[in-house]
Amino acid sequence: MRRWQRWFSRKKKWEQDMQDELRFHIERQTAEHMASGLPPEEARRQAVLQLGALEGVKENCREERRGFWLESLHADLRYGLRMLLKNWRLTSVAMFSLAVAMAVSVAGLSVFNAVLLRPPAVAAPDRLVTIYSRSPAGEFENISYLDYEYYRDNSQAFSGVAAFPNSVAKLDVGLGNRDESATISALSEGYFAVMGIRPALGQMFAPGDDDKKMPGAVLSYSCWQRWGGDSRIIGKTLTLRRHTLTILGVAPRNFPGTVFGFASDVFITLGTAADIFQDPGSLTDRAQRGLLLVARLKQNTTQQQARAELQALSGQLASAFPQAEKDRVVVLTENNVLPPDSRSTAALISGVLIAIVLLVLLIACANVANLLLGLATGRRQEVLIRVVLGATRGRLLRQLMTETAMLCAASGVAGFLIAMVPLSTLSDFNATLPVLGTFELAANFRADGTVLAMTLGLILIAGLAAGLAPALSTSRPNLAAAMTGEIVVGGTRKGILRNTLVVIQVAVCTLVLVGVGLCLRSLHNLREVNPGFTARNIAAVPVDMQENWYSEAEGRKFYEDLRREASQLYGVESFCLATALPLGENDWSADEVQFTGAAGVNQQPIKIAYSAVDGNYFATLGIPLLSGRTFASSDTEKGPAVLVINHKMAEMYWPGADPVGRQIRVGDSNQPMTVVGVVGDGKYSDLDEPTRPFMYYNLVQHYQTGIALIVRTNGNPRHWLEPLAKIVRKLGAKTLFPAVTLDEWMRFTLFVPILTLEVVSGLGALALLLAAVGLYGTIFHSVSERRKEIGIRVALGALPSHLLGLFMRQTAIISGLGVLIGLLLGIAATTLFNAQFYGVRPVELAVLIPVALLMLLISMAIAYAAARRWINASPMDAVRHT
Amino acid sequence: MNASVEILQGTLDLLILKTLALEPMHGWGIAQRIQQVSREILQIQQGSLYPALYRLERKKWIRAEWGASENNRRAKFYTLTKTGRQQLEKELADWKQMSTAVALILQRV
Repeated sequence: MRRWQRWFSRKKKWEQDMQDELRFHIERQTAEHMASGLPPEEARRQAVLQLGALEGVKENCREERRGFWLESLHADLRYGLRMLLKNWRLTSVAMFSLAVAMAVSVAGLSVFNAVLLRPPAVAAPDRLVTIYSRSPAGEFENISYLDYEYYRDNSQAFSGVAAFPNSVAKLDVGLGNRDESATISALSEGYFAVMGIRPALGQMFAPGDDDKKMPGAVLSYSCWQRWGGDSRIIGKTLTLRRHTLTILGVAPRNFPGTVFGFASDVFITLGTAADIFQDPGSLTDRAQRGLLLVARLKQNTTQQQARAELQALSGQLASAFPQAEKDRVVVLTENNVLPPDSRSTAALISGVLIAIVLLVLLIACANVANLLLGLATGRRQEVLIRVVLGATRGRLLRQLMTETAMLCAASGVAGFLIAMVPLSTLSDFNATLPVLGTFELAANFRADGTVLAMTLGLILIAGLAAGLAPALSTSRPNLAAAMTGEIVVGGTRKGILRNTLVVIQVAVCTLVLVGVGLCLRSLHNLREVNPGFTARNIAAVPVDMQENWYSEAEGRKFYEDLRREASQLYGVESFCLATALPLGENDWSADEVQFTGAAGVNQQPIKIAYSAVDGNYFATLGIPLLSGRTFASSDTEKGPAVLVINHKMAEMYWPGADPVGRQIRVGDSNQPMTVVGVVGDGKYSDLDEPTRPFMYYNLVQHYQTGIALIVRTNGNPRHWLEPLAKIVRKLGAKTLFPAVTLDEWMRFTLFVPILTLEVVSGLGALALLLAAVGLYGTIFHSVSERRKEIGIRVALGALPSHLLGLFMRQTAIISGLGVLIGLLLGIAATTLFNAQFYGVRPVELAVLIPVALLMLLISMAIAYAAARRWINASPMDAVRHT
Repeated sequence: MNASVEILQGTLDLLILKTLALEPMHGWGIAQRIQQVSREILQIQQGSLYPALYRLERKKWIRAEWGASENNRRAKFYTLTKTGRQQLEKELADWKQMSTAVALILQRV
């Protein structure tokens, strides 16, 4: 307090000194002039004139004082706060717009940051590289265990190489006498060492653990907490499908798992995984490429050196194992949280998302700019007085920008806080996927330094974008017009600026709405796609033989039991067993097919996807039989192998001929298979896939460990879900995944387009809301500025409908221009992202016309609502009111 | 009478420092001195003199004290400080170099 007083008295003394000095100067100069013979009055006048505008000089002197900058900032802040509070209505609308847009931007940036920018949470992430292989066809592929061993043991460039499959599995884990469902991640024993992850408790895997017979497991931190968080858990055992594993240690809290986005519970070695999943080939088959490699570069090795060495090693592999490795290239890239094959997709999706988010922010900025312009109208007098009192333009600008900066900072902080709530919830989200079960998501979307820095940048940009134009226009007052108290009539510079802002808002809003329309259209097209089967009244339950530890004989008996139970189920019209649901898997098992005989067009073996099904499969799912027959009871396990193919396959390999009765060879087997029937084409993985060849094996002849019981019911299939689950339980089998209806399943396959639509619609609604607010404010203010003119016109006999028409026409022109620009941008965007939409043309009139009409309608409604009040006001009030 | 010349941007500081190098002086005196010494060619914008003085004072090149003027009135006198003197020398050297260079060019052309 004392210091404050001292500062204040010092400031007062400084001011006094400055005034004294200037007074002395004038006196001295006056004396000089009088000495040269001028009369006293004239002498003084000359002296004052020579010094210049006294208040201006004083102001310039004050600006040179130490601490002036801070002091004026303080004054500006106080004054700005007062102005903002005084116009609290405008302020809150502006703050609301900006805060919402900011929240959306921060959320978008956080996702972008988590997916693409942030390095993995490991020690020295910049020394880590990812290694994968590129097939002769140029496609991304993983690396087999044997190749991994070769690279690990023979490379000199790395201090360590580790491998892991880019997938997780959901299994029941036996712990003491209870069962827990857990997410399992497999990894090579060196993974933790290469990543530099230190155990939170106990120890991690040791070299050689991959091949050990008495294997161990490492728990994730969250799993350990869930299971009691007791440190005595180390050394205890857990069972995974009748395998006993010793718990070695607990991973640190910041390591959620090997696969981005999924929280793992139990980590096991690749060797253990091969045992548990009964997949010894994953360790011994060079063609089973299931592993992604991470490696840590040695201290003074560059990526180029490592790359060269890997090329040499893969060359050696290619010459040693030409069948599996020929023309295969090994690729080395930076290590990221996402595997290389999904990175470009993620970049595209986040890029589009960020673009839309920034467009929403742009609308909000235009809103704030508009509101500030409105605010400026009321401040014409104030600015005028300031200019007359000697305020420079720079000083005025600084003050106006201080206000904008305050507004933006407050909105930015509010937006940041709003965004943090959903982001931190989303980061520990449990996603229940039909058929696949519930997974704990572990994408760390929480904000960090990067997001904070980007948010600050956004606030700065928003402040400049929103504040600069209004400040420039406000600080250049039309002195002559303002002095006479004249209210400007008709178009002014400010009017042009304002209309430009409206055009921008309407254009951007139109663009975003076109995006919403395209997503809708694309989804609609996908739903209209003929999948080649009937999803109506279909329910299914998946069962895994391995999970139940059935041998093949037990499994085959289980098949029979399932079929018998299903046949006795009330209301089931048709049923079958099959490896998977249609549209079920993204990677169908595929076999190399060799066409025998002269009819074979292609002599090279070719990979074709297949599914093993019962003969009833086609009738149950309504897949039309085009020629021949489906599987019959005469096709026995030991009998001649038969298969059914789809129309596309028939057309491609036996063009113009009936393929029924022809033979093919599959894989390494020498047994030929005979085509017995041709069925209609369908969609097998995705609804938007092109028509492709597909074959069906007879389930009786091709025992499969994972199958689904599919039934067609005579009513709502949801009512059969529980009976289906009951059948499986009654037969004493466990199933990890719940029963589903095919409709639900198909909706799930549209998960990504539906999610996209929801996000884009949300942003679209936001854009529309913000633009509507902005439009209302603009029209309201521009009409209110002309109220004098309106009053005169009404007094002279103009009809309200006449005037209303005038304003509506003007709005129609301005927003029409905005809509036009938005549509053109929309067409450009459609062309650019055509691949992302299904069945959408560049000029999609079904989207463009409704969007244009909607935008025009909304702006006309807003114009009507905003202008009506002024038009209906009494002319006397309008003219007098200033 | 000779046409007067506006002082070049940035040279006002140099002129003030040079004037104060002779003796402490008040603002009006500085303006008069510059005008006289330059034989009335250089006209100081009196309005810009005082902000310049405050600026130099803030940079600690000159120091201000209140004293009695020649006509016995209270006036603010400015004195060159040690850093001010160093600054003057530096600016003088710069100026000389600059004017020689300009002169050379002008002679050539």
